[in-house]
Amino acid sequence: MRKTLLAILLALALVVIPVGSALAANTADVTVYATPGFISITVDNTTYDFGALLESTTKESATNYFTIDNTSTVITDNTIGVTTNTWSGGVIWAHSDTCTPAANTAGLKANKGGTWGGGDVIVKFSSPDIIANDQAANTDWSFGLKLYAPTSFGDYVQKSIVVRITATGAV
Amino acid sequence: MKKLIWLLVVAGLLLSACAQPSPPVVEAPKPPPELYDKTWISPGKVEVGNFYPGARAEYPLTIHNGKDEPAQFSVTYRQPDNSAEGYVTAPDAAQDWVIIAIDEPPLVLAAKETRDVLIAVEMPKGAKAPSKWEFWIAVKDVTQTGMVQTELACRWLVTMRE
Repeated sequence: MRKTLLAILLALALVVIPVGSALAANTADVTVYATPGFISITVDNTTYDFGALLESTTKESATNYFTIDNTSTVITDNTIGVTTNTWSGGVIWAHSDTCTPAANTAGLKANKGGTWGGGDVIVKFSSPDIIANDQAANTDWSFGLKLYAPTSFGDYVQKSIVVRITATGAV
Repeated sequence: MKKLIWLLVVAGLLLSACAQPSPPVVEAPKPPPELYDKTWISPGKVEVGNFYPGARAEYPLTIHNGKDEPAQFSVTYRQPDNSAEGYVTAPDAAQDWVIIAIDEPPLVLAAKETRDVLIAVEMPKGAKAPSKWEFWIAVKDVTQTGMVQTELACRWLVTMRE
């Protein structure tokens, strides 16, 4: 009887020990937490026509021309960038991430509802900058765009580029 | 015989004690009614802790199409435009560690449809990463037109085990 019991205990011990260690090694430690909330923005005006340009000039919209309808239920960080590093249409323009115009090279700046020249943000292709930091939930905001025209044009075909506003959970 | 039964009971208790507790089931928050007509994602931020090479973490990203017509969405991994304090941009290899589970791409949502897309990050054994790193899952309605478009992103903050 004692031998039988010992055999059973040994078998149980062999079962118990691997179960515990396997669970600890594989899945026990990784934690995943999500901050509840909804991220939601849309833009009312989607286009602004800068009109006819002269070389080495700037043209801008009002700094509240584009309104972001922000229905996010949490605080968000919002960046502004362009989706390509060139402007399309005829002889392509390069997009300057330093907003330094050159021959067939243009730049863009944005301003969040203020005055041009105060708090402007360069609209970049690489590593876009924040335009609306810690934006309060359910609070709309506006911005404008300012174009820095190239110092010389390869042609007079209309150019375009897509500006992207990205909203994400604030940190 | 009684002893044997007692031993089996004790062993059963031991086995159940060794099993890891199931993660708490957290009910996803319900969107407020005013978001029905809006396009949204949830959550906006996911934090992974105690991550290590060979581990996997996952969380569903919920996407809602607030339009009155179907819309196609892109769901992509991307480097963050900015990182949270203490975090750095994910290593280049991380884009191969992230799985975006879309059953039948492209992702097209009917009007007012809400759908979960499972996002998983699987770090290969032997791979290296900074102690705290960040990547984004970007969601964009690709039917948008015009000069200014919007994108919604979920921030993933990963902290490696010490």
